[in-house]
Amino acid sequence: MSIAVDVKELSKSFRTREARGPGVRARVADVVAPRSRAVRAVDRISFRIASGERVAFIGPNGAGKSTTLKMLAGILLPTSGHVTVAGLVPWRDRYQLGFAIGTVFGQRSQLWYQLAPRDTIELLARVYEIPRAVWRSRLDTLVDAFELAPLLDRPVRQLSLGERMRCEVAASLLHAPGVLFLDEPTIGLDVTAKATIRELLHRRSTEDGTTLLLTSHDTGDIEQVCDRVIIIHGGRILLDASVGELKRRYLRSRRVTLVTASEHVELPAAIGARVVSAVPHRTTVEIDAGDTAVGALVDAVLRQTTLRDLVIDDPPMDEVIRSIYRSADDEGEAA
Amino acid sequence: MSKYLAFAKLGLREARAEPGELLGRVLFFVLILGVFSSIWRAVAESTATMGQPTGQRGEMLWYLALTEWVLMSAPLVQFQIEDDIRRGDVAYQITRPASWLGARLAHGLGALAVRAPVMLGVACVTAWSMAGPPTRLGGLGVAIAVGLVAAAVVTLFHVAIGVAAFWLGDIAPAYWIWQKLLFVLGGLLLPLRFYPALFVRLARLTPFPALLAGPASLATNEPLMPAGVLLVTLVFWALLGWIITRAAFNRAVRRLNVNGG
Amino acid sequence: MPGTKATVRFATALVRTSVRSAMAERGAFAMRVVLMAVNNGIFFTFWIVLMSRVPRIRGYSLGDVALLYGVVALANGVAVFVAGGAQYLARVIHDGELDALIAQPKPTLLYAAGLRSQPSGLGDIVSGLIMISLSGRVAPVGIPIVLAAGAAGAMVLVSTAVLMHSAAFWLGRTESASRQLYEVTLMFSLYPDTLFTGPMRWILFTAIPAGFVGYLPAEAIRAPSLWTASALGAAVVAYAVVASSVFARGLRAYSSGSRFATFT
Repeated sequence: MSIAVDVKELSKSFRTREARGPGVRARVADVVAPRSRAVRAVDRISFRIASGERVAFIGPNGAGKSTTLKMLAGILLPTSGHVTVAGLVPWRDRYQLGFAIGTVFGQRSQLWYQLAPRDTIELLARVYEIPRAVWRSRLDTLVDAFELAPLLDRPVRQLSLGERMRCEVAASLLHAPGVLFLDEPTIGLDVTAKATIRELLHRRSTEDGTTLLLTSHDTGDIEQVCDRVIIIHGGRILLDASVGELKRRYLRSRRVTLVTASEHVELPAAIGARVVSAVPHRTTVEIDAGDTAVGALVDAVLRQTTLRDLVIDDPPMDEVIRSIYRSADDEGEAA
Repeated sequence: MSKYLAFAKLGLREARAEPGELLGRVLFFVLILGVFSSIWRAVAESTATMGQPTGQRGEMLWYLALTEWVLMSAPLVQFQIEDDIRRGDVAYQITRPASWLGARLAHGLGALAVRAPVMLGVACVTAWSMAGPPTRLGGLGVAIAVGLVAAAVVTLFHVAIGVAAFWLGDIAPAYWIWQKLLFVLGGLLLPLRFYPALFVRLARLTPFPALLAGPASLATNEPLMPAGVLLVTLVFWALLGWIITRAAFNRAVRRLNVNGG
Repeated sequence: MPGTKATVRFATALVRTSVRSAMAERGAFAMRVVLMAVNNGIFFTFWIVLMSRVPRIRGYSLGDVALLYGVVALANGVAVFVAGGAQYLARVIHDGELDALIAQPKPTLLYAAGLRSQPSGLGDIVSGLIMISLSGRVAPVGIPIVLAAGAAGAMVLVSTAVLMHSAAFWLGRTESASRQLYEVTLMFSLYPDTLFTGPMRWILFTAIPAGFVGYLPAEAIRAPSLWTASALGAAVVAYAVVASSVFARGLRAYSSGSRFATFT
């Protein structure tokens, strides 16, 4: 099993120039004597990604996700640390790296807006110096897999956001990169489109062995595409674990929804259930997943009324992650 | 009325917050004046045949400085309007109480209030240093006063061009044409008396001479027309321009509402 | 770095795609082309009128001015039609749009410059060629020299644009200033060089390469000689080298993140 991405003690500090404010004097002062502030965007992070792995990089705004991604793609120079991607040093071997990686920016389209996706793809074939026969056949495969046939020859400006994203991802795979970097790939998409993109990414990756590294705010991206999660906060790695491990370790609680004949239920405090929502006939509680807890809860409810329905869920991933951030902030404050 | 004043103040503040752009225009102004000063020096050399003394060059330069001043003071609101229309912001804004057109004009006039004095200062300093004091100080004063009105009317026409974006989508080519016609028929670089008589008569049917040549020529010995007449002409063109712009705008809005934006 | 063959193929494909994109909306494209030509024509009437009264100004007659004007229009037309992206470089740099280009295995400057072909350029090219042919100043060797001179002027203009816009790497939002500096170069190219004396003349062949966009190419067309050809060639190379080095420096600064950085 080869290592696709190897990061050791990677750091990035910026000197951001601060504008003093509007007005002529401020502007002149900014040019003549710029004021700057040092910011540690990424602070000695280390991780390794094996070839074929699908990793989600999540964190709140300003956490350092996009900065890290840009360093891996060779766009930014690190302040210190070691990185290899596909065996290459990104900023030093940028030309060769270009052939080995693909990028998808959710907020910025790489497709030419006035032209059909096919035109962008023909240009990309020249960018990546792919022989005609090779890219033609690869395009056919991608068109089948992504169902692009009706979209390929229509101007991009006529496509919906979801259709555009499908074309973007397909185009990014034309040169069969070993590693694909995606920056917020499902942003702005509706539920169906998100599901489609996630499914396509997962399937392509498992079939082609493409390593995926995606940054996102959307926990659905994690659950449906990736096997592994790296949580970044304040430039540091908070957690690096498989999705399963994340659920097991941090999902000690369960969400139980009780649909009852009576309008309300009284829950004795001893059970330790926290009411999340209560509307007539429907109560949702959060309870620690101990051995007896759920049983005790159901007993307590059945003593009062009959149960029409019972749903037991994991808490939403959002909450899990938010609580991880919160505990990190608390630790930070305590320190 | 106070709503429009608020828009004007906004335009004023925005213009003050973008000194870079104004600085660029000032640089352009000085350079163009320099180039044309050279042209007129060269012309004076070759024009023993024109029978006009070289002292004429001083007047030419002040004329030039003033036409350039009027032209360059007017903010390029047409591009902001084009952006608004293209982004569809207009659909939301026209439901607001202030007339959108009026607001845009007020905004432009606010910006003008910042640009005009700055450009005037530059114009006077440059012209003075290149060609000495103006031949008629009183004439200069009148020229400046009328020039301010003219610059306001140019701003109004910029709004009109911006509104054309409803139909043209991309107004840049239309603006270029307008600008070149203004240069030529407005006597920007060459006073109208240089042109053949027929040409001048045709030009007078357009607003262009009144906008540039009119005010600037008040500072010379051969004004295009008396200040009073010029003011009336400017008001006439302003009213005509405004009426047409409003009609066009209302038409466009009606079409917007029918087609659902 | 990519081999020459791959780069040339890429460059041609890029320009072809960019032009096709500009032509996607036929009506708007045609309008821009035609109106730019009309635009140039209207502006030229200034000279027509002036020179009907004053037939010679410092050695220039109407034909000479027409040649100069045509050459500059041709050069600018080629510059913005083929390398229109250079005119938007400051914006591209400031908005972070270079990132996607940097990650691809092709020279970033070439890539950025080849985007965004401007339809107005075609109008400039057509009107420029018309003015050159009507000027009556073209030496019998004719067309190939006109094309070469236009191409040379275009290269100098593109280098100028790249230089002016690269300021964005260090100074942030320079789009309007960069554009104005480019227009200043254009403006100075359009007027007879004999108008300028002393130190001004020096500037026109150095900091603001207007002399290499208008005057020298016009000379090459009017009276081709080895001297003008070599001078022009040297200027093209020199400005290209300076422009690409400044851009490369800027790119390095961009990569180390020392700009008005926004990051997540």
